[in-house]
Amino acid sequence: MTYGYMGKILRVDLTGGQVKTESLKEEWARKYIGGTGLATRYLHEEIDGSTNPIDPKNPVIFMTGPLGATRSITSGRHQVVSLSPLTGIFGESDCGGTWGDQLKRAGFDGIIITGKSAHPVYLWINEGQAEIRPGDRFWGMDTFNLDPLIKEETDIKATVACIGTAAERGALIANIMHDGVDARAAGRCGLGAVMADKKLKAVVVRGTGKVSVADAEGLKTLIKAHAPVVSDRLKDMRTYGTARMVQVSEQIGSMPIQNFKYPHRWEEGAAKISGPAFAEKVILKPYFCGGCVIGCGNTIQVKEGPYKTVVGGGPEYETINLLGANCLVDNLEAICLANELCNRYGIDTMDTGNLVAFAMEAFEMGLITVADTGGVALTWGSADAMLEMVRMIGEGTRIGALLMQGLSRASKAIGGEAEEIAMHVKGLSMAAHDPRAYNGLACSYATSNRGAHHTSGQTHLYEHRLAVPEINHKPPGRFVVEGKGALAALTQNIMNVLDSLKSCKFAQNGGWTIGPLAEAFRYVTGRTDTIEDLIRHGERSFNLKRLINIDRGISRKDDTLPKRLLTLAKTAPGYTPNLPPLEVMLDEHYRVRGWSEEGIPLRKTIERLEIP
Amino acid sequence: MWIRLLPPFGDGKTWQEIALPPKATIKELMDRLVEIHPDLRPYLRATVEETFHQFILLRDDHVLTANDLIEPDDRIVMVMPLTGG
Repeated sequence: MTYGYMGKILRVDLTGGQVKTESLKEEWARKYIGGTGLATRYLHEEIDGSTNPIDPKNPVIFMTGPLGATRSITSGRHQVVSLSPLTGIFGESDCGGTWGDQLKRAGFDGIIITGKSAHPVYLWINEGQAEIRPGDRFWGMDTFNLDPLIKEETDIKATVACIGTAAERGALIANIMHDGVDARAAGRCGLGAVMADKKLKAVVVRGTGKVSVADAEGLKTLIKAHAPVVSDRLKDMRTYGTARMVQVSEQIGSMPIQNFKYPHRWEEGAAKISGPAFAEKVILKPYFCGGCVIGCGNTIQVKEGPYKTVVGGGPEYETINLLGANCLVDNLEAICLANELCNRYGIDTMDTGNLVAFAMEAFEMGLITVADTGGVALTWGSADAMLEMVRMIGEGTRIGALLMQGLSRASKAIGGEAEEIAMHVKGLSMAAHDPRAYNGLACSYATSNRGAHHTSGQTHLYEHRLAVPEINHKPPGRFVVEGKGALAALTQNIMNVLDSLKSCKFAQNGGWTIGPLAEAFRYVTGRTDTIEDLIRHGERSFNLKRLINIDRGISRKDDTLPKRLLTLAKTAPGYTPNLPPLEVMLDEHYRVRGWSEEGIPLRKTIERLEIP
Repeated sequence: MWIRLLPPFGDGKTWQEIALPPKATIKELMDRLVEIHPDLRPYLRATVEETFHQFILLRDDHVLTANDLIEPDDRIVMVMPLTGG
């Protein structure tokens, strides 16, 4: 297996202070591709049913994909996989930027880090060599301040993955930040807390090598045909960023507003935090991850006023809607500052937005008082209250010390009706796409292996507007029920493929879908896997994650949504008052997957997929 | 029919009446729109399906497809598309 892969895994034992290189397990790469699939296979080998997320034996695994650092477009991504301290089950996060490509160019497909150091350390990987270095001087630094200083100590052209101060303080919503002020996040599932427990502050990488490609000319021709289409169809993202989706989300009823309970339309608020408003006020230029032709990221600055920011990565759609609309905050500049604070602390903006909205509703209900907040009145729509809550969560002060443990733990500790207003699935807070607006997404959220994350299935895109001719898929419509359990399974399998190849999901809108990706995979690796083969690899990954979760007690009882999303219809003018019929879709989903009625993969399913 | 163009296509506030024959096609609507708003022309592509990657049209929360027909009392919103989040 010489093409598309570097053939090496870096294994790091922080307890013993050892690093060693081992050969990539080729059989696993054949069955699990790379990225999320391959990392999950390694994770499965490292843990057993008794392994806890905060346990030296729990590895944090960084894994690239075979398309990374090749000419294949939008493949500058990597996956971080571990048991999640936030949810207690399988955890993963997909990340863009430049780090993944540099890791491959440094000669490694992935890194498996176990153990626990006695003192803060960082890992320095430079052109095929690796060493564990003392990290005491960096402990206590926020992610923006750390980045240039740690590059001074290593290589100014290196790229940095690191944790912020929140992880050091025990935040379970801690993420892993990349690329300094450009702020690309492995945001979900609290994986920064695993690094913090290991006393691992950063992983710094420098690599300039090349990836061997089986058919460079074929790949070049393929990319030449597709890149202009992807670029054109998504060109407005270079102007407006992912914020271009803010207004349409309000229009079609998928915007999370006021902790998912707002009974009215919010058009004026949405306009104030929309892509055009961002472009007019704060966007300086687009940001491109490695190999990207879209440029959906953006570099922003709030130049003056109380919400002044540095020049850096701006808030994405999820961040804008969850720290904005979900808190009824329509102050764009305040959202930018909240985004910067989260990135500096190293906490997930999506969890944080949900937590602030939860706290505001709990305050409204009297479950939280000014005694908990240091006198801050958590009033809906108050930008300053939102920002104060972000600071409390990031610094672990007052009620923030509880909230930084995540919605599930915080709501249980507060008690009363708090659990009913905690908007999460399996402990992971909601993404900014309301499942009442998409039945398939509802099923996908409920059955996702990591909880309520939209890209685990991206089912909403497939039911709403994405046609994929090579698999005979036409969008069935958002409120159709029949077939949605099956569609959730199909899209979850496909997203496992994309996250294994490591290809950006936005590019699907430009026709860079499973068919062309199968061609790219063939040109890069020389392997002849068909589309069906790839989807089976994705299905295998999904089921292996499910089995890891079943070892941790997950079953049908956990495949659900917050009560509000199953019982409170959106009745504002223009909205379809839909409630997802989840149980019906689950029955279909389990049947299609070859699972029991309780959501357990059947023996014949495990054997069919050749899962260990 | 009436149409409202959200930014960047319009100010997002004004409903504009456009005269179309009953059961007009999306293509007819688009042609009429660019007559009135020539600045929308750069968003048009060779087919309606391809154009819908640049913007979408909504009747309430229903996303119109190339085969939908426009009725005289329709109120339609033009907005940038959702791309998956």
